[in-house]
Amino acid sequence: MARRTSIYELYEYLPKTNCGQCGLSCMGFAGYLLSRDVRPEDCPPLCTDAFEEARQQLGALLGDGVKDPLTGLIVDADRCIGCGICVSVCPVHAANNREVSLGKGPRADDTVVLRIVDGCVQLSSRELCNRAIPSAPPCKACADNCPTDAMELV
Amino acid sequence: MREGAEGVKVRPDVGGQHTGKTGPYGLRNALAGSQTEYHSHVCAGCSCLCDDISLYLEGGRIVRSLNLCRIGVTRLLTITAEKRLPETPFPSLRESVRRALDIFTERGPVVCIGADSLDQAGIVASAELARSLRGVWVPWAFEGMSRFFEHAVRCGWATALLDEIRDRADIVVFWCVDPLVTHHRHLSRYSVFARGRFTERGAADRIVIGVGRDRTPIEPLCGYFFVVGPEKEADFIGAVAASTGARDTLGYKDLPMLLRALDRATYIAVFVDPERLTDAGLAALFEWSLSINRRGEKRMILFPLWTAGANAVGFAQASVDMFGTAWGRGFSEDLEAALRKRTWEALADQVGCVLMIESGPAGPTRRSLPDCLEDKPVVVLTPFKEPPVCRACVVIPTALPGVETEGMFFRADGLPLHAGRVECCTGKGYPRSEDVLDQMLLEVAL
Repeated sequence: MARRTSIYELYEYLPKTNCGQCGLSCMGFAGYLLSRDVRPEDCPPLCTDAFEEARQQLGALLGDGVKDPLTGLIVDADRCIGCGICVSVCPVHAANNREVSLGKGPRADDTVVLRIVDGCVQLSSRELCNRAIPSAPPCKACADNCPTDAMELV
Repeated sequence: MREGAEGVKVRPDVGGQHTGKTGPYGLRNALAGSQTEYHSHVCAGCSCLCDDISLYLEGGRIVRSLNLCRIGVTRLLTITAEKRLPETPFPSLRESVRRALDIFTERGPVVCIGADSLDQAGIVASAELARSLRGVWVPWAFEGMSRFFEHAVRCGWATALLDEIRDRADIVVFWCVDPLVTHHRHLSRYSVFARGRFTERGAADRIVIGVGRDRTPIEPLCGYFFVVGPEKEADFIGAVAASTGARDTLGYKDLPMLLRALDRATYIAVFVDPERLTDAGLAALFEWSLSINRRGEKRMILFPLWTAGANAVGFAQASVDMFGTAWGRGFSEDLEAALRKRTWEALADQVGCVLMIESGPAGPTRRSLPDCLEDKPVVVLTPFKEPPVCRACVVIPTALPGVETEGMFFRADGLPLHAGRVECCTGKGYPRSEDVLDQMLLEVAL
């Protein structure tokens, strides 16, 4: 269910001149856009009037979500419906929630990575996420099972 | 931390960071100052009746919630809205009740719709009022509910608690219903992703099947999804039910794989929205369930998921207890005869006005009046901040059940749960629906 914005989709809207003003080639810049390490505004030619529509398209593809630096999680709050699927599939939740076999959400004092706060998923104890552990296999359970494509892992 | 009333924890000074951000309740989410917490609160936003909700109040207003989905949050936003309801031409409750009763008297008989949004006390009060006015009393889902329970009486009905389905179901079917639209936490709490006793890996231990008129948001989560039109519905169910003899795939290439999966399963849970199925389709589902359960080798549960009225099951229970049928009652011969026709049009021909209880805030749980009742004078009881979708003659604001007032609700599987009151100062003294209905009843008696 993870959103499938690809590097090639983003590259289509770039100037494709490899001018180097950003310090990268256009394909390289597309890669950093995908990982949310740069924004479209970081490309000087893209900020001109000629590329206004392309800039808007890129903004729509990338969304407004902010990447969590430790886990790489981006949440689109407008798409999230608070279904709690991400919470229930998280392996940390399964290990630490005392009521996981009752299908309940985590209590306030449970140590979990994700919580539903005010109807939207939020990171809680992000340092426990498998993606924050360098030696652990990368986990994508939350984003893969999100039914509304509200979560993206970069 | 000191104990407040009834085990409510009052935290004198939580400390923590002042984020400066405001949440959906329009107030800052900072955990500073005195805060009241409610844990294991029951949300009455839909028939899931999630009982793991935590609410944090500051200054008597809700500032934060945990485990609450968008439907529940939208519902709570009602009581934090600055302007709760539009101005009405009848500002006082007494005047509103008088005007409503004038309408019921001059333009009767009245059809009382939507008591399935209330707690049990409100449901009973609405039934008594409809009886005293010799009107008709029905839930929002009356067409589907009458068909479903008539088939249940004819065929027998195998059902189970949601907890059993969570523990045991290895095939889950959503038939013309999509919980991602109407019951957001259903999948994670009960039917698919919850890690049950014998399905410890949650969704990995189940196959999810979707059947709908069109593609719906749940399709990506389904192992198999079938788009079945109403004209093909009964044939499709017949083909699935006669699994060993089926040769005709009816044009569905995944049908043989579905049949193999059903053959291997030991516990099949079928969630259905009876309002959207044809009568023949509903009958075929019941027959299929009966045939599976009679063989004794596996279990098939048929589970209605009503999409309006969090307390639809409570309505059915009260209706059976009071009148012997689950879908309401007509309190005259003509109205009862119209009710037996099981259509809104038949009712509309017999009634002259409407008492409507609003089903929910703007969103998937909100219902509109059927078109055939649009031209009749309407009295609305509503706790929600948005104005009613119909042209209402009288709007009576009420307290939000399960938040501003306590009450008993029945979960989708019939489990009773008590939704407690949250001590918030935004109630502004709105009366309970039950009290408004009782006042009407008193005026009628006088």
